[in-house]
Amino acid sequence: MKKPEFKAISAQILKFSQSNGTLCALIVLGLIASLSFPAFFTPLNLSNIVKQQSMIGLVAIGMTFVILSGGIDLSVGSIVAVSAVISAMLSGQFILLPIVIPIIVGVFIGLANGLLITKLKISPFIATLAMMLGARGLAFIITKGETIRSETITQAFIQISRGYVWIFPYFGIIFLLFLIGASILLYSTSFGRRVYAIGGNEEASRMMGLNVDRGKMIVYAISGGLSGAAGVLLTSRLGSGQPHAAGGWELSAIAAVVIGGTLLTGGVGKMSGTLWGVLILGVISNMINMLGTLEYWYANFATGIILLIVIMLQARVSNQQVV
Amino acid sequence: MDLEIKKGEIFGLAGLLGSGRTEFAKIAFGDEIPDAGGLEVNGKPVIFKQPRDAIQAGLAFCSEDRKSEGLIPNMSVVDNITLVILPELKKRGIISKKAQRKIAEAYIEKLGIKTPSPHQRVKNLSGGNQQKVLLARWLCKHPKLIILDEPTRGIDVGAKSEIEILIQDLTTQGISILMISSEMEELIRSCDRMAVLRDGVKAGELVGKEISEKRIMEFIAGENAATGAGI
Amino acid sequence: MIKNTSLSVNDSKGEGLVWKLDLQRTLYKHGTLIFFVLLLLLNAFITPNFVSYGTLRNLLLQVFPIMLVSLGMMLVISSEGIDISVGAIMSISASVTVKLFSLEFGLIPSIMAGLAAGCLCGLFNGIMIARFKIQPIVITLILMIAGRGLAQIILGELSLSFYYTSLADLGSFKLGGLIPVQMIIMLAVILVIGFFVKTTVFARHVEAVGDNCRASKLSGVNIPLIIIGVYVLCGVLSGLAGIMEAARINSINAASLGLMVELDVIAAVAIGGTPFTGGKPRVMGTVLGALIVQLVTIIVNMNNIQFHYSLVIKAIIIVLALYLQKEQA
Repeated sequence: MKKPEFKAISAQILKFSQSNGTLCALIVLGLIASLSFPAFFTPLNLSNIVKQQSMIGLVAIGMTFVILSGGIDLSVGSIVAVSAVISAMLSGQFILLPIVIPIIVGVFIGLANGLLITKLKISPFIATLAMMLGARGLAFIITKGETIRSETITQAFIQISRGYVWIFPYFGIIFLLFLIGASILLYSTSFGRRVYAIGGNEEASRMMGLNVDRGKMIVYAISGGLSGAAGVLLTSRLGSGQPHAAGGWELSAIAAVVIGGTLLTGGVGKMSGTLWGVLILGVISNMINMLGTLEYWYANFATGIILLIVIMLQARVSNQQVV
Repeated sequence: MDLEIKKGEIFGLAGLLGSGRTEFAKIAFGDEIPDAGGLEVNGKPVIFKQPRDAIQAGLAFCSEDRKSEGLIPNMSVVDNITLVILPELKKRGIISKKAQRKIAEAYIEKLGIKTPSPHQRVKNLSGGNQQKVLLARWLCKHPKLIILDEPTRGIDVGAKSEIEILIQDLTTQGISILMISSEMEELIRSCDRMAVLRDGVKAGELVGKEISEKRIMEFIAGENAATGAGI
Repeated sequence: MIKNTSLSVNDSKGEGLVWKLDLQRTLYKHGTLIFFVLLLLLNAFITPNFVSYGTLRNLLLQVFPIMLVSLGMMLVISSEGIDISVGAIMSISASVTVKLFSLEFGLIPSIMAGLAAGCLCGLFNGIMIARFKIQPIVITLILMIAGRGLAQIILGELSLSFYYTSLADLGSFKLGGLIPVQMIIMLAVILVIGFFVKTTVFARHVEAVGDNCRASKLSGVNIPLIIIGVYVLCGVLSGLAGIMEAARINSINAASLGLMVELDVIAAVAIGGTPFTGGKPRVMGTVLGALIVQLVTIIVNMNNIQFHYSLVIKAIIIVLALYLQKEQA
């Protein structure tokens, strides 16, 4: 290859990686995984990753909206738990009930978050922190602290988590559908633009006449609803309703969104970034699993290190200002 | 871009928005790093890596955006005024609240800052008084050069003239002022010398009687203006 | 909403003496204290065996780790940051101390090393945030994930006990046979931090940075120093809390020491009135906040209420506390 051609190509690669930092990180990570573990790049393993991550992926989609609007939602894990438990309780009934009701409940909890933030003017961090505690407590209260056992859960319901369309798991398809829907909402509607505006400069948005409060309420409702959907999926997967489930999911969701290049200060970010972030987390977890014999504390440590590297690379390579 | 500011004079910086006036000020103050060029204080070259260095060399900077780059909104008038000189107010390692209050009250009086109490949060003051608090903060430090970026923006007429008089007053104490403003009349009234920026470079310099709206507009407009008189 | 209440008192001569009891103002200003007292009173009535020396002793002993970490967290939050790795730091420091101690390094050097470990964790957080501009929640999240793993690696195993050793004695040491060492340390820390916040330039700069970072930079504040400083302080305090907790129970379990402590701590700081968007650190408020949070845990235990109700109660208290503070500002 001649020198000027080489230069041109590497300049293009650099430009691509600068505006698609996360995707590049995912590709690099994927390459490393494929080279280290022969079993990695197989349809079975890849679809397992997708199946595993689609639940947290839904939560991360909702979190993307919230963070883009300049807020944060720490209660998502607890909302998943509440919805999972309700879904388990309703699963003996008509099939739509255990799917729709938990999502509606999630939306309501999200609206409650929105109220705390817009009407009581409590900062999102604290409001959703309080809701995290409250909703978790609610999950326990509903189930009286016990796990709802699998006898009451119908086989059909559990099949959702096990089914495939050719090599694509149902879960993956559901995640993809939600992702597409969310992207349309974010990029093609005025609501989506409003979200970016609020996150970018809330004061200015208000002055421009945008209904900031309503926008925020909707954003938290979306987050709650998506967490609700994730809860339904979780119950299908576990075959039982556990009130202590989904602990720490909020942090994973935030990590996925942030790795994806969305700024925590709001106004900057892409839905595709969240997709890559979710997949990166999945690949890391998969790699740790493949190491198999690792004691789980080494696993945690390794996860942390890998995350650190990804984030630092992202901060360096990305055109955007900071992680 | 070459600017030379003499002691005790008011040097104005004119130009359209985007001509680079604020950028120049921030570079001079150490807030941003220039791609090329250098600074000299009293003939000696200096490097300012951050505002702290510039402050130690005797510079001060009032940003055009008082609210987000100047005042600490929830802190009191006293705390805002004494923010930069806090290290000097220590008695045996402890900040002396008495010394703080004394200095603040002195400046409240000297500059005519209207506030219900010295402990009022500055975010509750009017624009003009906020600007005075910001000015007072720097005056505590007895700087050699104060850079003022749009000092009277968003201030009512009465306070505006007060502040202009204050600025004139400072020069009698030997303090140099670099005034950046979009208001032509203000610059013409106050400045001893002036430079006009266009697209990030110095388009021209005016001294004393040369300063007039016509001459400034000529430099701002550039080649399109009539005759290349002395550029 | 509580409306303004007026109380009018006429003295015997008939001249009107009017005391206006501004109930609203008083409530907001001393809200946390009032709430604390009310909580105590409520329990004196409904909780069996509440008013006893044993309960007080339990409260002060159990609140120890939360108190220490809350004061560190308070400074971090004042600077508009957050540190969710505090539980992991507790575990790391304790692991370092216990491991060195078990290797016959001596009590004091082991403790010093443990504190140094806490300091290093804080340095890590601070440098990543100040120099590499990574968001506080992200980097402390990473430390939280990796930290417990690191603690176990240091420990060499999941848990370690050290009964009948000088470290264990330290944990149960009582001054004059009566006052537990935890209370002494706690009091000392509260006094030191209180003094620090009130009188040092550093603390003022923390407040300025938290309230308006940009303006602070332009006023010559050494931003990196302040940021690294608060995370180091938080790390050291967390380390101290972890070490003493391990000493008290005579063992360390790297996975469970300080687990979930960040929730209670953040709640304590929130209730205490330190603004989460950065600003003035409220020492007394945080102290009361920590006591209130621990009190809720104790109440739930003593009344045989199930654990998850404590979560709901804490959530409600947080919302209430913040709502009242918003009204005040």
